[in-house]
Amino acid sequence: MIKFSLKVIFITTLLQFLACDKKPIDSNELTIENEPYYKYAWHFKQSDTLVENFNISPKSHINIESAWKITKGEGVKVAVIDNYFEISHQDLKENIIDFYSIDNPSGYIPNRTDDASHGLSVAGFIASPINATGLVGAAPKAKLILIQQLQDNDAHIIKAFEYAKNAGAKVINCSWGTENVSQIVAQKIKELKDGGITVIFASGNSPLGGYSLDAEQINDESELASVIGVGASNEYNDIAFYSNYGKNIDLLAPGGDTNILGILAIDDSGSFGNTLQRGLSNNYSFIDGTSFAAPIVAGVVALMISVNPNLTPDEIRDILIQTADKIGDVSYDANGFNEYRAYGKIDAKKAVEVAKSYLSQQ
Amino acid sequence: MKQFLLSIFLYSTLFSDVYYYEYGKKVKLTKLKEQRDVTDGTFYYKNSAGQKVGVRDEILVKCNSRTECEKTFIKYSFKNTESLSSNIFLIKLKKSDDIFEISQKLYLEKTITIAHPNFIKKRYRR
Repeated sequence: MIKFSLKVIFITTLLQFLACDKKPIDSNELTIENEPYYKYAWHFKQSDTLVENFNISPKSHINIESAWKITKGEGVKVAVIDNYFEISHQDLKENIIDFYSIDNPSGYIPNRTDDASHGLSVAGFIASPINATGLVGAAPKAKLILIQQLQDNDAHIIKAFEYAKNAGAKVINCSWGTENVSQIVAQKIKELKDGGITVIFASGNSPLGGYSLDAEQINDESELASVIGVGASNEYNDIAFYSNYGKNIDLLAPGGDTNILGILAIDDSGSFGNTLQRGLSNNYSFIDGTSFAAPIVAGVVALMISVNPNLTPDEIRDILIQTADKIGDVSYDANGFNEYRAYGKIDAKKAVEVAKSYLSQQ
Repeated sequence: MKQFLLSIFLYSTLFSDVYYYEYGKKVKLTKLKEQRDVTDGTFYYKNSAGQKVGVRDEILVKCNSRTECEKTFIKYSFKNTESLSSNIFLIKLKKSDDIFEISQKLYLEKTITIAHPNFIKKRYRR
């Protein structure tokens, strides 16, 4: 009798195990904690292990987990204008709704197989989905419009912006700059803002240490009044040493510092990568740069728009500034501005909460 | 002596300043020595800040309206124009045209708010 009961229990357990094993994963059941490398995401949450091992500040994140309880960016289209994208990447493809090559009017974007798919990493910070594959973006349910622009001329930049607008983007991320923006490009960007599209630019990096963009000869895209200019914060919750700054930069967001750890990213060599850093698979790596701070802001802007689609770009900028965290053990002026740290580091939770209750003046 | 002076003059014209209008100001550019991309006809210049820009045979213009742009194109007999947005156009010039001279003239047209070469500028990934 006991033998029979044990046999029944064994078979039942085995069947249950097999049934569980065969059960397809329901994407609705997946949580961010299912992402295997989320434990390294110091920019999104406090990780006690990272705090201990890398001396990372417990406050270096942007408080986004609380914002995700309100929204994950559903329904918002974010465009990325960059160089190469791996559009079949396992940790991005389900959120890509459009892709286009400005340089190749047929629209075909070949997957880059070497180490220069900058756009792939950037896009991952915005909307890598919740799929238990690797990591997660700031707005994991937002949708991506990927625009490849390789030629460095003003006409192609304008075409890229025009494509983003016509494709329905509410946010456009640009992790690049010229320090010499042409008037017609600046005008085009202003028209986008006036049309309700929030444009975000990275402030730029210098390996010898960030420099001021206030110099007379510099006229960078990130300094335009019609964009949100973003510098990078680091693992110690202060401005990253390489991040360019100035009176026209608006905010900081985590960009990491590979001298400390770096920020977890989809590797820019995509599926063909060879990093294998700290136990990460080929698809991921720790990197740094204002290029990756800007798309985190783009993702947070998508979260804000998803809870309040009526917000104007000016209102979005104001809310991000009002709710920013004054990082660094320094003083900010009466307007809440610091030359190096701008208006501080974004706080996703506060920004989304204010956005949700904000009565737009539009 | 005459030949020497002539040589100096011709040499200096190779690197002479050109200008265009941008942000309401006259912007001078200096041609860079041996900086022509023979494959696509790009000439390179530097501005007063030392920033390098490339120029081919294309001008970008922004008009108050599409109609005004189109009228101006007829006036200048431009045959090869491309609409980039509702009021921004790319004009392809003939190889023999002086791109800076035409940019200056267009800028001074009442119907046109911006006119400058379609600049090639290094974009830095960040």
